[in-house]
Amino acid sequence: MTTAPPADDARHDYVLRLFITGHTEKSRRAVRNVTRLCEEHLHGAYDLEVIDVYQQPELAIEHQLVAAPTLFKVLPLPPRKLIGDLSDTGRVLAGLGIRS
Amino acid sequence: MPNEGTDVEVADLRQRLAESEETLRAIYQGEVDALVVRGPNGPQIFTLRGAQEPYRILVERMHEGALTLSTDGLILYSNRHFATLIERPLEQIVGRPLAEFVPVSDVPVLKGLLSDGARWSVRRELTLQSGEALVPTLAAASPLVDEESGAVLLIVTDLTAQKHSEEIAAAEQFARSILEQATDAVLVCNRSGRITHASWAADRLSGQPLTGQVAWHTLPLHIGASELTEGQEPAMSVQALVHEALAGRSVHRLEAGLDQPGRPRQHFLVSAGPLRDRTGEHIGCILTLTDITERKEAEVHQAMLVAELNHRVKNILAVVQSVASQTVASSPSVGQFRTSFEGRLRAISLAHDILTQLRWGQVDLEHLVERSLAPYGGNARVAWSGPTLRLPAQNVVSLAMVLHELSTNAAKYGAFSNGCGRVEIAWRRLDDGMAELTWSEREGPGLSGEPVPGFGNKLISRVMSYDLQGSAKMRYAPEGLGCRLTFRLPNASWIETEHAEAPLAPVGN
Repeated sequence: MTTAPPADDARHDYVLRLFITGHTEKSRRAVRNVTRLCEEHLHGAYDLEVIDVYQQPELAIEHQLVAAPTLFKVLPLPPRKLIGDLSDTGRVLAGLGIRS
Repeated sequence: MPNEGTDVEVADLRQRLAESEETLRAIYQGEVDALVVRGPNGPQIFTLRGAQEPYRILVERMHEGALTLSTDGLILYSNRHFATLIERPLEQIVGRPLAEFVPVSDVPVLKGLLSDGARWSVRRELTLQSGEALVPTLAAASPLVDEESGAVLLIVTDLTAQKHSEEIAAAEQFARSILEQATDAVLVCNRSGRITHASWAADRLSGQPLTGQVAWHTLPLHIGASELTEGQEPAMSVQALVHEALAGRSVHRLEAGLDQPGRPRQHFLVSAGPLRDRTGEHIGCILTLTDITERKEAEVHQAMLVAELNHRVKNILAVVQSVASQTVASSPSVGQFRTSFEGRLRAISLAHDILTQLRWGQVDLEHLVERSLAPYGGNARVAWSGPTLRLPAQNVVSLAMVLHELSTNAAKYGAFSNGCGRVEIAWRRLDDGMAELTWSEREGPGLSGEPVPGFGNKLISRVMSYDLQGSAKMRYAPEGLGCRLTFRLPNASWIETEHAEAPLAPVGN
């Protein structure tokens, strides 16, 4: 058995948490972008939850959120944060460690 | 190896620094809507665009579900109420297609809402999946102005309570229609015995609207286990019956009588039972009254007929028995007994035939005379006259027997025993409520001396005196037997205006 780092392969399960600010434009865009990205690149091998910080602020503190909208990659490790409406697909993919 | 640990630490620190810088950059460049700050009372969200705040609070607090959807049905935002409506945690709603929460049957409605709602306001009934249950809702869609692809705002109102009310109203209407159509009197009472529904037949029976009144203050029913006669105590009061039913005990088809002023007594079959709601609670009772008045009257009438019939049969048996024993006593031979007895039975039978034909009503004396004398030559040998006289049934048999005896004797020894004899019968009213009938034989063979009382004469005297409260007097005149009969009749028997007459037909020698 080797101890090589796992390949950045789309088939590994991703756990993502998207924090939005209700129905603002940025939030809507963030939702659209993330869902499309997950469909195209992760092919169903993901667990995405979308949390409205106004509705559940305590979850925001739990994840040490500073600003919203923010996308958290919980798994695979290492954890990452991506801030903004996530329109820059390339940056998001890179931040998530996904090869396109 | 120490270097590895340090390398990991450094990499981690670098990452965190990069993220902090990125956060600051995003805030400065306005890519962020809100900041999360740890306050003394918990997390606080600082919104960087304040104008949206009151609207946002309104949407969160409204008692309807609110969604923002992309035109292809992706949920971009959901308020708290919608999550409650479909029984899902908030974080599992946004980012999913709304179709995930709609039963397959209603997906076409959803598609219509999305396509129409992207252009103008539209309202449709939409069913949502809420766990195992289905929730009926009214969904109002309208276009949301968005600088990118179109979006739809959807407001969802729960119709469960309204549908429930509609169901209740329909059930109520259904129950009312049944009550309207019921031919039996039906009363529905609440727990205190107050009438909440009454069928049309019940209102008609009591003569006044029954709804709202206490059940045992309305119809004064005498409830008993069987036929009640006047003055008999009822087995159960209406109040007791209602209490039985309210307590959950059913009572089936007790006979009851209803006496209302100005009306003859009516008879009913009463049934009562508890009324339960969906959980099985007793919420009242139902009483049903089935009208059996006609049936009861028919029963009584039939009992009377049977008693009457019984009485008559006994009478006949007594008469036949008496005739038989007396005929035996006066018949020298078995053959003669048979002839005499058969003849007498035939007279009785004839009388009964007439009575049955006329349904045991009244018989005209003329009709009886005609039928009784028919075997003896009709108009050629017999003439009769007298006023129209209606005989009560009990007199018909007796007179038929008397006429038979007289005819038989005439055939044996008198006017019917030769070729030219004849009989004249006349009857009239006497002063004292009696009737007189005379039987006169002419041109028979000569007779001499007083008649010997054979059984025939004995029977005649007995019948006339006992059965008809009259008398019989026989006289042998040279021209033939004369018989004068008297008998009592009720006054109503006479009809003065008519006169029955049947003169002799011309006789050809």
